[in-house]
Amino acid sequence: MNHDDINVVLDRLIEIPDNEVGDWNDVLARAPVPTRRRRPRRTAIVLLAAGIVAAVLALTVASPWRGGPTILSRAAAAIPAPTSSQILYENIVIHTSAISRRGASAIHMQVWLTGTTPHRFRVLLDGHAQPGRVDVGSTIGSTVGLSYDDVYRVLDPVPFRLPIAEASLNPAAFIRAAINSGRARPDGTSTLAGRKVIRIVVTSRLSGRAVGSTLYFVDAHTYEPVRVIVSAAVPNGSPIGFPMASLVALPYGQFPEPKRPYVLVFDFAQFHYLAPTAKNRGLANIRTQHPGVKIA
Amino acid sequence: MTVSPDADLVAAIEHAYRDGYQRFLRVAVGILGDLDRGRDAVQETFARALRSRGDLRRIESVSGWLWRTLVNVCLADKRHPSDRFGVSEEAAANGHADEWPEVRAMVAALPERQRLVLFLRHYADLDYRQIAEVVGVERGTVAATLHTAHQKIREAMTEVQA
Repeated sequence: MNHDDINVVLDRLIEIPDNEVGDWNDVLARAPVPTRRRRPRRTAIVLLAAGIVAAVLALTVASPWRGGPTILSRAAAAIPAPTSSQILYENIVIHTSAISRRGASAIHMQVWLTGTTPHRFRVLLDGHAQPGRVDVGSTIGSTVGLSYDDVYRVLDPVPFRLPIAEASLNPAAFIRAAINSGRARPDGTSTLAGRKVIRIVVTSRLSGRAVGSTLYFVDAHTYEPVRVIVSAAVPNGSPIGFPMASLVALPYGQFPEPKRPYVLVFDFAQFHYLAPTAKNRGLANIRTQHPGVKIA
Repeated sequence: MTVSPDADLVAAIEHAYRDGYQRFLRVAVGILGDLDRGRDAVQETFARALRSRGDLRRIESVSGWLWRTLVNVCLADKRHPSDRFGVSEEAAANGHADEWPEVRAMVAALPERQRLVLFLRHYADLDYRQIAEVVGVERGTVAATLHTAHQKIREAMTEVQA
């Protein structure tokens, strides 16, 4: 038996249809390749995320509850706020029915926000549905940010359609404001991972119709956020109850199933304020984090 | 193939898919013993390539990286408890599964590395250097492994024909 005979045997052992050519679209569906111009991934991503922010801010919020009970008054007063010189650091694990797909189980998000003018922030996102990580930085209220492109090692200017507000980066600030404005209502207490928590609900409404609800679990003693569950009754309807949810779209550009209601679960592994050292301030500065990297 | 810009890399991956789909599928089916699981492994391999293409910038050979990924995907899939070799329902249905049961059983009984080398040589048409790169062994080991596998197939075929 010669080499050709072995080939014949092996060919007969494993037969596949001769005319099968594969389905490239299925490959793309499993690992979306964004349509891009020049290094468009980060740019398109942030633009689309800004679109979601715009859509969110176009909604109006109403609440079925006003005149907060004591528990909310205490919460509003106690929810941690940074001193002017501190740096807020958040380490969050996000699970969502909106972007979970094969092999995508969680998104890891880190946020740094300085308390001093010009209130620099930096958001770092790692997710399975996109190669690499997204590293975006700017200042509160700015309409332009910088996104680090690790392929070309440059910082890409990225426009925000609307300024990123503090509420998108600091859920404590948002829930404090929601309580003070009467847009939140208490929902009892419970235990989460052995930690006593207070539940607070914010309902988002559009023209009188509930479009989503957000359930905040805050520590019963420190009032720091522990978990936030966002439930959208309509597509893109819920982030108004939790503006930070709009940041989730950063690595994806848009929710893959925008026509379906979805749920986002934010688990705060860390939420604390860092000492105002130069090193810690640098964590919120994308240019400091990528020294020598030019702006494209 | 040396690549650098991202768009070129995506194009290179797509070209490898369209040009080599049958070979990738054949190796995957060879390792997994099931046509559907083989198809899924090929799709997952290229999806993984797209998702991780940033890593490819440091790799000279897209082809070698794809083959190595395919092997890894298949071996991971093989850990599934339903794993079996060479008795796909389609093969059984068209009569080929039982054509050379002794040879099939012998190939199935080959040590995993021998089977990988055999499939990569015959189904993927890779040369010894490429196989060595994919499997992670020396080139000389590929030659020796392939020689041993061929010898076993010849012996099995001799018994069948006797």
